[in-house]
Amino acid sequence: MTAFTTKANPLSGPRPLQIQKSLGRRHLLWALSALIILVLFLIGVRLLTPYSPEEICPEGTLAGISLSHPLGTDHLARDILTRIAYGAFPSFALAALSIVFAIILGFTLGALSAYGLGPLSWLSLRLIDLLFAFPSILSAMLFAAILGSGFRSCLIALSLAFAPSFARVIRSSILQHRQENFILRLELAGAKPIYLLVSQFLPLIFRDLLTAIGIGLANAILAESTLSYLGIGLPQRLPSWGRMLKDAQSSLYYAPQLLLAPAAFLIYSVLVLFALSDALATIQAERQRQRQDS
Amino acid sequence: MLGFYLKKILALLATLFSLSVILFLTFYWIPGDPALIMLGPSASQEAIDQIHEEIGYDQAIWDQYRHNIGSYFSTSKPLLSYRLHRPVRELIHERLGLSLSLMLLALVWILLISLPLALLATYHAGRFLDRAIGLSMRLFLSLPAFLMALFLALFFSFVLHWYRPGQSLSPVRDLIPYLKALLLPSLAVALPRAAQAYQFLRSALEHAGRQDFVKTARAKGASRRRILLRHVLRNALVPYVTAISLVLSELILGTLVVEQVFSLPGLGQLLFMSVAQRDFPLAQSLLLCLAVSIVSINTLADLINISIDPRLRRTKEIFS
Repeated sequence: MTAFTTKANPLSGPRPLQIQKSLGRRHLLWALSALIILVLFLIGVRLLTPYSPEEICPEGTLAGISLSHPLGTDHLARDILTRIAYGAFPSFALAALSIVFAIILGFTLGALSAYGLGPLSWLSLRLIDLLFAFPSILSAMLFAAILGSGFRSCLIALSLAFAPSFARVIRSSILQHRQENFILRLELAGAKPIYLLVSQFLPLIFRDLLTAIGIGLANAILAESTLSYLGIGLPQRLPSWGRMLKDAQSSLYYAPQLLLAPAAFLIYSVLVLFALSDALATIQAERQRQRQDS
Repeated sequence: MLGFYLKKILALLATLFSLSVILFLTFYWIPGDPALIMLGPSASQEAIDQIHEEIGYDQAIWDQYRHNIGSYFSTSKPLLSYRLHRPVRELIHERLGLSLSLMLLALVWILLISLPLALLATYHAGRFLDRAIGLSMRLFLSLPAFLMALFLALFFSFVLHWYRPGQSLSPVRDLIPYLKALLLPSLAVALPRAAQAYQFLRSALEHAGRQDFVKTARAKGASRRRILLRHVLRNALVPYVTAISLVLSELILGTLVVEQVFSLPGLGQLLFMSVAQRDFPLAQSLLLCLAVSIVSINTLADLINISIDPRLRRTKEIFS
């Protein structure tokens, strides 16, 4: 034990092994339940709310918190809570879909770069580097300029932005385990690379993959909100959280709840996803340490 | 070793070239006549022909590409913005100073915030201060740049009264008001990035703190503070430099977004307006400038890393 670690300091005794072992699992439990609460809450509001997200309420604009409008109304007299619940699903769907495409693209590129023949592997490596250097907002702008804003261009941009991280995951796994005995044995027996990929390498990176997915989802939600705020995200008719924040800006000084409500939900979702990935990473690290100790 | 540098620089030049070609082609293939976009649908044929002449519309694709790229380096045959009818180069020049000052100021903030806080947190590792700082950093990380900017605007306008929108200042004439106006936006850009840099540095410090030489120094009787500042920090600086350079590209983008929030007349406004109005030459040039700077910064970071830590020269890839 050295002077700058967070484990028990050298003067006290070692912590009981039991607590140390389940630290990651406890975090995971908390994060998962927080996520489930959020999802249930949003679904509940969406199903139970008497208002529609575009409906103009008789209470008037910028009404405060009340029983009939738990979060008040916005500058166009629409119920804020309803808009938040309705706005969650397009954003989440866009994020999830872009992560799915990012995984598909990233895995292909990563596997090609690690396994493919000379020029193909070199090319995919260069592509990964290029994509890595291109932040999501930049490519989103590019596609918005060409294809016009909307779901499709956002999807393409975000998938391209997150593909390299997944490429890196599969690539490092392949490079790490490629020379190991069990792989070589299968190769000698005539296994094709695709078979090896799916049956062997994939399970190895399972936990790292989940962590990457969690972080990717969180960043995708953040990116989507930024794009919607700038006006090049989801189409106008969908009440995305980013757009709500943009609308809130004009009435910032006398009605801060317009800003605080969507912001709170946004921060909460992102934090929960980050916490999930953290917990998974901690579990992975604990396993690694166990394996090393034994 | 020199060969390594050369290889990296050559790769960078190749990437830059392919970037410029890709961007040029992308905008070239967009259907539509630029002259019609500029003049509106009811323009006379002579006006259209004149515009075609000016922008070299009928030339071969290679010449157009050369014209496009050449407009960056010389002012003789400028690239005209579709909507504003002024050379793109001029437009960028006007606003470059503001955006650059914002980025620089944000970088200063990042260094000022992440470095001392990470050192402080490592010194009190595991205790309340460490956890508190770590938690607030996590919170900052989960905020997108514009949200941070909005929160800060809320805070600064309710609590202090420094924020007054809509002034145009120049750094030469009145330095102090200029800095004051930039203070808030640059802080807004810097905080999430500072959180990232903080996390990197904190884990690097902790990793270095676990090394054996710390035990040796402690056994020799050195104080914890001395060990931290003198030995542990030095070892942790390399990954920190990497982190800072990774953060730089996100810094650039964050600056552009925050400019929108505060309506600052910088490159961000120009970029988003050009995209929204389909002003292709402007959008293409700005996107190219951005892409070039980001890619160059990444390569620079790689080069710095390699020069600091010789062990990295043997690995052929940049993935850490």
